[in-house]
Amino acid sequence: MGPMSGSHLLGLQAVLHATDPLDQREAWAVFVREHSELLLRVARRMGGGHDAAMDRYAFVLESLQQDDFRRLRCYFADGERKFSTWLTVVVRRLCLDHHRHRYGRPQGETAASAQRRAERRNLVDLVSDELSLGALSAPGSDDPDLEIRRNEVSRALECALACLPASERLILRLRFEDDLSVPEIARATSAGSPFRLYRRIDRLLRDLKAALEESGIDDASP
Amino acid sequence: METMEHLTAGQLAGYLDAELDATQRLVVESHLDACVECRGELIDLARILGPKSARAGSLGRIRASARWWVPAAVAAGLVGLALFAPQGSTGPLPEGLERPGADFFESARITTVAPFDGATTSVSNLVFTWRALATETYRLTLLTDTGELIWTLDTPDTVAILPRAIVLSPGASYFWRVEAIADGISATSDVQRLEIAR
Repeated sequence: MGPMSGSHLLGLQAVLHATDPLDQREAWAVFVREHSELLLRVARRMGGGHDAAMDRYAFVLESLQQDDFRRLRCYFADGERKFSTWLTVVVRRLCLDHHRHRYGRPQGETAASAQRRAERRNLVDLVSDELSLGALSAPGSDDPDLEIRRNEVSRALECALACLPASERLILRLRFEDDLSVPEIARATSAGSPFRLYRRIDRLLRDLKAALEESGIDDASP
Repeated sequence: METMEHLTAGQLAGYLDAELDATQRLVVESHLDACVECRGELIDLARILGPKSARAGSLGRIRASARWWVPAAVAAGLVGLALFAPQGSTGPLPEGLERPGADFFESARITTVAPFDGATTSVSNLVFTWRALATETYRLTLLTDTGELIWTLDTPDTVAILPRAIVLSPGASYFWRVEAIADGISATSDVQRLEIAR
């Protein structure tokens, strides 16, 4: 059994294993009291004001009770992680479901954000900028040698990135593709403190640049 | 990519709380590397959950506690909401109970103003600035990039000037953060990095 506050586990078990409907109702009321702050925090997070948050909160409570608390029962088959974190994930997904039911599309998906996603630069281009390798994705010139050089640099960098462990590539994606600050990356990953992460990113970029130089690439200039 | 199975709630929760073993972590990180949707979910969850130190206890040299202050009336309102609000209803609550305020659920966080994260700045006239919270005292902490404490200051202001007695090295990186210190309440800023110009 994974790490979990004893009282949260007892509360959850009381809900799921109650045989008497009145006992289950009481256990559910206790469960809701214990977790209402978390549920409301997530519901409010999705925006739309208090009434929208309360709608989502009510939807979450209803959904968690559905099919004899089927979603809560999944906790035990899903790794039994820290319950509050697991519940936060589940509740956030339910809030998104509520939004889809209501509006029929992913929350926040607009023509503008879809356009931004389509124009999203890839990691190779972004890291290339960071390493000052020249404008790989700049408007093309008529110089075929420059274009060949650019392709060489792009392929070499793509190869160097592919050779990185997934954990390091993930850090670079979060930093450069998703534009997270280093403290935000530290919060989202197991990558260590912001202090350590700053040094790790610096080292990664230095190593990438060194790998490219070993391949005979200093910049994108022919 | 359309048929890729996404991460389970357990996988995301385990990753966020650093509870996965090496194999499980590799599976999750490999998926996050490839899946924009799960990465977006991870980012949003991390913002909801707040700093790891607030989730799992204080870590490292810097005290990083972020506790929510719950006024009694609002706490009563939360209990009332759970006990008395009918399922699916957003109707009025019984007299004396109140819905939580607009900013109640926001993590207590201090917004720094200057220097911005990653700034390169001159060592002379180094001024730290942040946005005010409802507190009487702020604590500014300045560290080397190896985590060694250089300077700490308790102040009622939202501005602090580095004393001349504190000597910073040109070209070196430092980290700083601000905490709000009040009776039973604390809030923190994100750790900010600054580099001293050569």
